[in-house]
Amino acid sequence: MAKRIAYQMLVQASLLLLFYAAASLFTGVKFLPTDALATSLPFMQVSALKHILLDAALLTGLLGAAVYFLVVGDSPLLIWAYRLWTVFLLATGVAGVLGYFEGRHMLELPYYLDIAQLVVLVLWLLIFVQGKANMAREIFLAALLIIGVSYSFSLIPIQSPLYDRILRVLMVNGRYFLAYPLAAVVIAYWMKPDIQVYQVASAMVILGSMVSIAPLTATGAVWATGIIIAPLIFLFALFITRMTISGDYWGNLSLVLMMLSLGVLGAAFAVPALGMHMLGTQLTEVQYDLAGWAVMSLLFSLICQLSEDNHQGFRFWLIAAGLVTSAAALIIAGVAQSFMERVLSIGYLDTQNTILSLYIIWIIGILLWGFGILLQSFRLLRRDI
Amino acid sequence: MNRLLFGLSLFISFVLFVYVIGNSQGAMGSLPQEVAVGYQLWREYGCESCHTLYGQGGNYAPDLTHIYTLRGEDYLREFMVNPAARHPNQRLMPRFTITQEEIGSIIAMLRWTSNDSPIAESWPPNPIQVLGSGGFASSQSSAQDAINNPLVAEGRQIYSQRCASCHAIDEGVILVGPSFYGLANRAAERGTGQSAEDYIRDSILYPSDYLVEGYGDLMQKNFAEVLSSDEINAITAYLMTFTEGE
Repeated sequence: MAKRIAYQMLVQASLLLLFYAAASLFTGVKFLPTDALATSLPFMQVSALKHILLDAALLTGLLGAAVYFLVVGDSPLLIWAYRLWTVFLLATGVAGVLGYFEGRHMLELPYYLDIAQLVVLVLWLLIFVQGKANMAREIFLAALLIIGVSYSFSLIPIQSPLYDRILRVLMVNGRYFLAYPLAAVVIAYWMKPDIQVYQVASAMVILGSMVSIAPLTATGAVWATGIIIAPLIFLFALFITRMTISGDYWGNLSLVLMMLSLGVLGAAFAVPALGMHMLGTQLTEVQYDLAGWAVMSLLFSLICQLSEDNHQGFRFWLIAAGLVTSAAALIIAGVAQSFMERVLSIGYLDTQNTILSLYIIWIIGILLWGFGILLQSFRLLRRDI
Repeated sequence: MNRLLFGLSLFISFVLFVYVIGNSQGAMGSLPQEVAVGYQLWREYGCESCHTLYGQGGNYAPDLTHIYTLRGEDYLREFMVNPAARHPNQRLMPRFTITQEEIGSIIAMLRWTSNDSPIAESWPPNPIQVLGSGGFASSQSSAQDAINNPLVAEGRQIYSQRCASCHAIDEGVILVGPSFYGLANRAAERGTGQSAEDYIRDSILYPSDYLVEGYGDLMQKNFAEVLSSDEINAITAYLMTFTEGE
């Protein structure tokens, strides 16, 4: 039963990613000059859907993976947790369709769904605490706790944009740059127990924390932060090279995307002279996307392993090509934005017109990886485990 | 030992978060009531999904941290009532059913972010324009103008609020109307028999009297009603500083 639920949750995650791909496509199209749905389907709605779907997909996939590795046999608590989680996902979908999402960037879930999610997360926590005492289980539980804390902080009523900006480092960054990658490291270890998981996890915690607090630049030692991150990237690289030998293409893609998100962009944002120019551009958005895609790739690695699928098939190359195309387009767009708007003081709308071709490339990338996820989901639904 | 290492890293992370959050500016300051109401409305209407404040938010639309200083209250009121009228061929902002009272509260919040918040002066690196170019809103340049010529500084401010959406100040940059680069030289050579200052002044008050070749008769016709004579003198003084080669 546990294995079946785990697989069903991974399929759910894959389907959520499919909807996320559709929402991403709508979002990308909004950046083109003409938008026939500008007022009937405003950007705020599709962007909210995109963020929530990615979050839901990552959390569902990570929980499903944990069920696979930590839970054995039948458990009434597990069955209820799975049902409640499915109901929560459906309720989120309905809320999105009816336009009940909030206008908080990256925190669009309404309060009542936030609370429901927290309750079910506590349930999952209990299940995993009672599960198999796998090596590194406590690391996964720590990641889950950080996710819970970040959602709890988002329930605090905030009256000031400055206060909101400060707490974001925990509410959003703590999840994407600390908790999700930490959970992914543990999943990777459970799939292939030959990495130094505690050392890697410890490095990931320090790295993720520095990347999370970077937007505030509150400490006088932010330059030192940037200097510390750079060697950590290489330290991390030493650990991960052991994984690349195995030929796990999805795992390798995950590491490359994580390196880009936490390592390269994380270091850039931590340096005050760069970060101040980059904050609020496409680079901010792509950093979250890359962190999410990194975890998504690792989950696909697990799905391929469970379904005894070929890691190196056409679907992988389609998704990888799409992600790389999208990421490259957005990174170049973000760099152009930072330079034109923040350094040269060229107007926002003028800048957007100049980088229009990059948005077209971005959309092409979305089409590629979206189609790849469509094929992946179709294949998963056809298989019976 | 491994678990100890991980536990230590978690502790360091916790200390880092607490230290940074606790020491960030404006964490515990109270806001004026109208600003707090404005921020609530900012979130209710989903402004953050498209716009950024202090780099926080969506990037579908311009950063609004200093928009109050750049555009002024009148512009913002008009814009929020009918967003499509200002930038008809650009990315569209939805038209909200928003009351004048709510607009006032949102503007109060934007005034606070522009002028009164603890980090108003330090972010962003340069004030972010909506349209146009040239860094004319740089606070250092404005301060220098004020020291040298208060009239020019006032004209610069009015230009940023009234003219910058259609007229750039850089050579070769065409928005809607001609660039003002080298205007002082060109105005004297128009052949209308007027001095450069009179030509500029008449172009503001009676824009249809002389149209530059290649441009339509699109300029606002009511500046005589919305601008005082002192303000028009200030803009003229500012535009007279645009000589070719500078």
